[in-house]
Amino acid sequence: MVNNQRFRDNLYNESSMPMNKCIPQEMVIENVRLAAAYVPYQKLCELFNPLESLRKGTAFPELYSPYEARDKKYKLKSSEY
Amino acid sequence: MWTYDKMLEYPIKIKNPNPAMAKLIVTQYGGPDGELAASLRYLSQRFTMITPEAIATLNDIGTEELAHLEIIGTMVRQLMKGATPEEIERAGAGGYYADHDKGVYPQSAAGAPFTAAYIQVKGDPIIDLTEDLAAEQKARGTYEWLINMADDPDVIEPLKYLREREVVHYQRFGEALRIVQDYLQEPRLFIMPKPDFLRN
Repeated sequence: MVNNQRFRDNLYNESSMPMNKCIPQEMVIENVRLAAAYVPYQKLCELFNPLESLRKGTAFPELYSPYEARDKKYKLKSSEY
Repeated sequence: MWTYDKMLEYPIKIKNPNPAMAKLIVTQYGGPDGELAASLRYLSQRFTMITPEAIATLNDIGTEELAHLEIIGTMVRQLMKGATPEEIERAGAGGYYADHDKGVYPQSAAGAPFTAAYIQVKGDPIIDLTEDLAAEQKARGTYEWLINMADDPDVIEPLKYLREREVVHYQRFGEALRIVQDYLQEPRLFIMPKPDFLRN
């Protein structure tokens, strides 16, 4: 272990890796061609601490998109899919 | 070659057995959009993949899907473990019990056994990565419908975790596709000057 105590502290800290604020993705995709699929590149800006990451399923705040369950008794209106 | 850690990627501790939920969740074990199909798809496609980044993405995500297979298997086991045959039958999982007792068998929620027909290996990197993007979306959807039917937080939390992993994998496959597209568009024309002794 490099630094066990520091590692343990970081597990519980609010943000273990506060990096510089930046936009966490590529904003302009160049040379876009027809009939191809494009996903913008992600850029590393901020990370959740390890425990938060385990609970949420990702270390990247910008990729965290929690799902809200539909109520079991809820009937969709005809306008909804 | 692989190394194995004797622990789950996400801890599973289900206190209340629920055979009805087990029968539904098993679809993420051996169903059409399940983790077995995902791991076999990525680990097979990697042999014909191009660019080091895309090969590594398939290898790493295929490996993680095996860890997810293990999580789902554990969930099915724990949901079945404490239930009596009567409870299993009443929960509508009698058919499963007749064939597999409380074992974990790769099948869909509707009982169709696992088949490699769920996956494709096309040999073309763009085709394969595009399938992988679709596969991640289908797995995300399956996790969402399962979350809609689950009541127990011991079940919902791991399902939410696994669902989020599919979102992250989609981003990684999207980036791999970009790298492959860029690589294939690079001009690869090498011009050698004619050596002097061949000049007239």
